[in-house]
Order: sequence, then C-alpha cells, then structure tokens
Amino acid sequence: MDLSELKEKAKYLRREAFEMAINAGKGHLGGSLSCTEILVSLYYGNILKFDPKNPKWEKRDRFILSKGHANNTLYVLLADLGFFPKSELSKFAKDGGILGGHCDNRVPGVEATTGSLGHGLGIASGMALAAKLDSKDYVVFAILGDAECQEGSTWEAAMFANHHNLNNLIIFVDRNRLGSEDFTENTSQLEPLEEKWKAFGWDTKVVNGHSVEEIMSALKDYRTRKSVKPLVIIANTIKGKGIKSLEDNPKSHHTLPRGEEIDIAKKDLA
Amino acid sequence: MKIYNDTRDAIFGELYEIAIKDPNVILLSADTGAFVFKEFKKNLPKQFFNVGVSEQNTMSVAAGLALSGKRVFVFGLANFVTLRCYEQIKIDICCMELPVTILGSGMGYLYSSDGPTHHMTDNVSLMRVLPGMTVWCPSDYTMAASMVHLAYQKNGPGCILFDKGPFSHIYDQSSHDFSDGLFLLKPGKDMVVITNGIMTNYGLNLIDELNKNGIDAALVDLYRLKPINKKLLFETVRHFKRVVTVEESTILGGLGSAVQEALNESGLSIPVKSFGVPDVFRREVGSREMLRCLDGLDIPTLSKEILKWI
Repeated sequence: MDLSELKEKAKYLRREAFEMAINAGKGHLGGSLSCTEILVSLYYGNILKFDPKNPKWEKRDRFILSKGHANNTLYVLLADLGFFPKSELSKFAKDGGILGGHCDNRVPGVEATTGSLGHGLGIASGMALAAKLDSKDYVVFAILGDAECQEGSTWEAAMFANHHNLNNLIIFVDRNRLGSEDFTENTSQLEPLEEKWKAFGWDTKVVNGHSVEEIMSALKDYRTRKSVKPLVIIANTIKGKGIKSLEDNPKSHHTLPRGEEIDIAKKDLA
Repeated sequence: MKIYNDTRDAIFGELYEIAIKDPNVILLSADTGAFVFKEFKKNLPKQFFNVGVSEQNTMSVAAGLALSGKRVFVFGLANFVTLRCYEQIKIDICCMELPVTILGSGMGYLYSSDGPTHHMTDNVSLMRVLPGMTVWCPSDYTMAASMVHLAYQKNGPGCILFDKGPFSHIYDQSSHDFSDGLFLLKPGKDMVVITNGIMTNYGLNLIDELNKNGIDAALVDLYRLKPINKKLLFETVRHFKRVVTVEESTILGGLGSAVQEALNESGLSIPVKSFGVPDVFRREVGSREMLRCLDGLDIPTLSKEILKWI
C-alpha cells in the first residue's frame, strides 16, 4: 500500500474497532487507537512477513502486542487480512466468540497471550534468541505500552536482549503518556525514556506515532540493520486518537463513549 | 541410567544426556549453579544460558523459546523460580501450554537458618493450583533422574521441586516405572502414611517408630502431586481404616489437601489427618530439625499425635 492507502486503512480500523467495542459494550479503545498507525505500517506497509491462510508459517515474522488489552484495532486488522472471519468481530467479548478482551494465542495471528503487562518483551526476546540459535532470519516485533515500562520485568528483558545482541528484535513503545488512571509522569516518572533505553544498550529512534511516513521511514532497512543491538522506536502518540472525547483523556483507557458521545465519535472517525 | 548420590548430579546429568540427543532442549539458569553446568557450557553452549538474577524474564524468555520450538528447563532456587515469577508461569507457560519444566531446588526447611526468604514451604501448593502443571517431588536420586525424562516426555508445563537430601537409596532399581505417580513403599495393616520428597525418607523412620508402639503402618510415596493418580491412590488406600499425610510444607493446599480432595471425590470415607507447616512465618533461627520441632513435625511428636488419634 502507498502512504495514502495506509492512512485510509488506519481510518477504517479505527471506525471498525469503535463499532466493535460499542457493540460489545466494552473495550480498551484509548490504547487501541493510539497504536493504530504502528499496526497499519507493520501489517499493510510490507514490513511483516505473514500468511493469513497459514498463521503458523515457519518463516513468518513474529509480532507480539505486549499491551494485550489494546487488541481492538489488532483484531479488526487480523479479520480484515483474513486470519479469521469478520463475523467474529460482532461477537467480540461475547458468549461463544473467539475474541476476548485481551490477546489470546488461540486466535489465529496472535503469537502470545498477553494482557498482564511486562511479559511481552521477555517472550519476544526468547523468540528472537531462538531465531539466532536456529539461524533463521525472521524478525520479532512487539508493541509495548509506555506505562508498561514501569514494570521491572520490562527492564529485565531489555538487559537480556542487549546482552544477547538481539538485533532481530524491534519494538515500539506506544508513548501515549497515559496509564490506566493517570499520566505516567504523575505516577512513576518515565522520562527521560529514550535515554533509559540507550542506557540499556538499545538503538533508539523517536517518531510521531500517528505519522505512517515517519514510522515507515524508521523501519527502512530494518531487515538488514548493521547494528548488533535491538531497536526501540518510541512512538509519540495520543491515547484515544481519532475520538475527540477520548483523546489524551485518562478515562479513555476502558471507558467508552455513551449516549450522544457515540454519534459525535462516529463523526470524528468518518 | 547411572546410580547417583547427589540430586543436582542426577537431574542435570540426565538432562545433559537428553540435551546431547535433542538440540532443541535448552537449559536456563536464573544464576544458580550445578556441577554439570560445566559440561553444558563446554559442549552445548547453544543450549545453556545463565539469564542472571531475573526470574520473571527467565520465564518469559523460556516461553518465547518454547513458542519457537524449544523444550526448555529453567533452574533456580525453588522460591525464586516459582514465587517471583508466578504470573509468568501462570500466563506465559501454563496458559499457553508450553513445554517448560521448572527445576526448583529446595523444599521445606532445607535452608532453615537462612530465614523465611529461603523457606520453601508454599511452592508445592502454589504450583499445584496452576492448570496444566505437573508437579513432581522426588524422594531419592534415582527418582529425581527419572523425573527429568518424564518431564521431557510430557512436553508441557512441569515442575520438579527437589530436595538436596541426603536421601536413602529407596529406588535404586533404575527399571522402576515412575509414571504411576505413587508407590506403596511398605505394606501395613493398621493405617497408611502418605508422604513425598525428603519426607518419604522421614516417613520410613516414622513408621518404624509407630511399629515400636504396636502400629503396623504402611507408607505410600505420592511423588507426583499433580495430576494425582486417583485410581491407584484409591486402590492403594481403600483397605486402610486411617490415612495420615505428612509434609514439610504449608498445610494449606499441598499434599494433605491433594489426598483429601482425591479421597473425597472418590467417595471413600476414611478419616484423614494431615500434618504440615502451620499458617505462620518461621522467623526463629535454627536447624531444619529445630524448625520441624516447632511445627510438630519431629518424629516423637508425630508419633505421639498419631497414636493419640487412633
């Protein structure tokens, strides 16, 4: 897809994720909307290698949504790509559906069960180490929440990935500046975040996480990186991006628009 | 299989033999050592990693490796590779049903004078409540060695919680089949004592003491606590009028609970009395024997209490 098509795809995913969450009466729209352009770039920007008809294809790249609650746009995306029927989206978080409120690796296209923060980077590191041990050339991607960087286990994994020179590991930190209840800088300060990752031995880049141009540019030559170090791309984003009532609003973590807010949100997303 | 005189030698000696044949076997250590690791480092450098003091990440890395086709064994002090990373074990390993075996060193009051941080009195209970987890507690060196093979064969979540010993050589017939999950070590007529791990050695002394008091007690070694072999347990204990369980672990949710739950489910109505570590932290400083005395787990007290009960 070209850049304009990627942007259109992001709009589509936002609209559908919103519909899915409203239909279910639950969701984590705030964090789902903040990482939409990252997902679109990875899956539609010819970055990830995957086969929806063969989700366990051995040569696929691996992707882990470590912030597993933010699966609303990911599930719409996986359905759009044909990993499972779109009809499943209307059963999101409902009796008998396959799509729950957090990532589950029984869902085709989902590599790891996530939803408790601070696990994904370690799992991704294990996968990246396995690729090195087996001389395989798949790349492991992950998206971490920024508040997830308050988990100590994230930094255990960061040390490990650096120590083992896992340059086949590329992660995004969705820096929407919000945790579940408050801004990260009001709870347990993360800044200077890029310097922290540097201090842990990682290569770093910082992008506007809603600019597919910047994301795609940061991923240029990602498969043939000369550096031996893992790469973190800190994506500055807005939680709830696309729905004005949710944008940059702490309540956007798991509160959905209601009443007349729903029609306003639909107009925002049009 | 070799005859071993050390639990770590038994476990890692056999794991080394498995790893030589299967390059997908990976051993992770959370910065805890064993003599055999020298062989791993020298001859199997791509299959052994000391991940450092980072148990949570070690479990997540194990999951990532297992999701990529590896069969992973994680070694560390039992408290640290169970409690510190409990949620990683629950979600990353058990929920995703991955072939990862935890090799937890130490049970009960093995490190008695090191204090509550090193008292391994709740690991068994906690591991037992994780769906899909198999929990083994070897009661001698040969059994410990065999359990590594059983864990490898299971190809799913497993946990071997092992004591340093010293163990008596109870099962030196290496042909013994440990897949049953329990074994009637000594027959008896009046009652049956059920134990596992180091307490099976202890149980042999206990039934000797009971014998001196005219009680012909049997001893069952319930070395696989989960899944419990309910059918064989039922067949083994149904003829007894009383059952006693003894564990150097919290009385909540461990061996005694497992036996009582299994017998309750079977509909067998036999009185069961469970002895174990009470629901307290032991902050007193002293030997394993001293702490056992404080908990009423010394042989004279156990014997007295059992005689009083029957």
